[in-house]
Amino acid sequence: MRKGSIARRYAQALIDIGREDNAHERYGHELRELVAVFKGNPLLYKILMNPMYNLDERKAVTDKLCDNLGASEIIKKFVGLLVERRNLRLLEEIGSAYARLEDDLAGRVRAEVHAPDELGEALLQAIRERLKKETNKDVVLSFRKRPELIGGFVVRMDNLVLDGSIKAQLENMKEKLLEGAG
Amino acid sequence: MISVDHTFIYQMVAFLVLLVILNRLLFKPVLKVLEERRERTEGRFEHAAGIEEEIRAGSEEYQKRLREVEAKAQEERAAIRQEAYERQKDVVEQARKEAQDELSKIRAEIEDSKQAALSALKQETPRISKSIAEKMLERALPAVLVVLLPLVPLISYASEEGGHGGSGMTWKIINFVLLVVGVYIIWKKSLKSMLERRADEIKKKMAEAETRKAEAEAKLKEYKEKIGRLEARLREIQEEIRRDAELEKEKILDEARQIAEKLREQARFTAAQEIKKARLEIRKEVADLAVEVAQELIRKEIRPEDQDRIVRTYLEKLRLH
Repeated sequence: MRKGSIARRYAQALIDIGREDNAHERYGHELRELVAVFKGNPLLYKILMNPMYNLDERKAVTDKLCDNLGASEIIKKFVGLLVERRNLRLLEEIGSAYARLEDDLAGRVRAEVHAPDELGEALLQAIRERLKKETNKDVVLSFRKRPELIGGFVVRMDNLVLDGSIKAQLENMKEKLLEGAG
Repeated sequence: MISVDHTFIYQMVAFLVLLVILNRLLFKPVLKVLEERRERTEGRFEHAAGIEEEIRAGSEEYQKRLREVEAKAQEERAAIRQEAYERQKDVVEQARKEAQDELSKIRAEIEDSKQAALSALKQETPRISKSIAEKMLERALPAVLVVLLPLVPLISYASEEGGHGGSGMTWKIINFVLLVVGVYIIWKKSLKSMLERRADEIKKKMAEAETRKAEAEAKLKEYKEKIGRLEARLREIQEEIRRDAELEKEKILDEARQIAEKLREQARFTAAQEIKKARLEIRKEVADLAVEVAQELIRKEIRPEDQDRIVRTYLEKLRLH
């Protein structure tokens, strides 16, 4: 099974519990906090993945971490399970998958807009509106500056890429120029 | 009792006279006939030997020519490539076998006729000699001694009557004359006619031998003709080989031409491909350069209102489903 799909199943399981408890937003928040801690301390993975330390000791470390973060029992157990199943490396992916599931539940979609320069609120709004019309979901936009695009913009939404950049158009132009060269 | 007295001298004289007469009338013609016969017999033998030699020489010549033809064929074979070589060899082999078979056949025929002629002569010669001797003496003796035999009764009679006087001498002269006359009569009536008859027989046999010789010569002629035909056949075969080889060569050359044409075609194709590739490369370079320059131009010239328009135009066209 692929890592992404394992991560999605973990996320799905967690969010299902969260919805039953009516606490999936809280779990999501706690999960993201944990991800941030692990991101900031790569050594934590090494310690927690090292079988030299016995499982109880490693679980004690994650318990302590969760206590310090004020995380719920469910999150504490969830992280313990990841340590036990040696799937702690998936934590970040589980976080992302969880966020997407949260968005789905909320009728939201996240989209990343790339453009050579800042687009201004009017254009961003136009993009947001257009995508909402297409997806029937609230669109949460993030922006990334990419000068190599020259002009236009690119939207990344889940696995979808919509390329309206000048760079892409130039590439198309080049392809057309080469067509019929044979 | 036999004793030597004057009658011995008479006897000797009588004997010498008889010898002279006999020499003239009998020995010379007989020896002449014998010589003639020998010559003719020997002559036929020599002639037969001549034919034999001719045939032998002819065979050698034929072999020589065969070798020459073969050598020529070999040269050609070497000149033409392997496929032609195999076939050529077979044909030459077959031709050689045919030639050998025919030659063997001819040789056998020649040998047969030669043997027939020789054995005919050999058979006839002793029979003739023997019959002459037997008819003359009624017993078998070498032919040269036969002529001396009439002297034997004379000598023995003279010896018996040796003791008598002049009347004995008269008797002896009469005896001698009678003997001479008797011998002459015998010669005339019997021996000569017999010898003549024998000579005729020999002549007849000689004629027969002549016929056989002519036959042998005819065989020789036939043999020569056959050799001539065989040579023609060999030339024919050689020609055939050459023609086949040429055809084969042509075929091989055709193949070579086809291969060459294929190679040329391939070369043309490769060339076309390479031209195409080069054209594409040129086009790509042009496209790359054009796009690069365009990119720089856009980068320099793009204004916020351009960007606004580009984004909005794209949004209008945007479809997710």
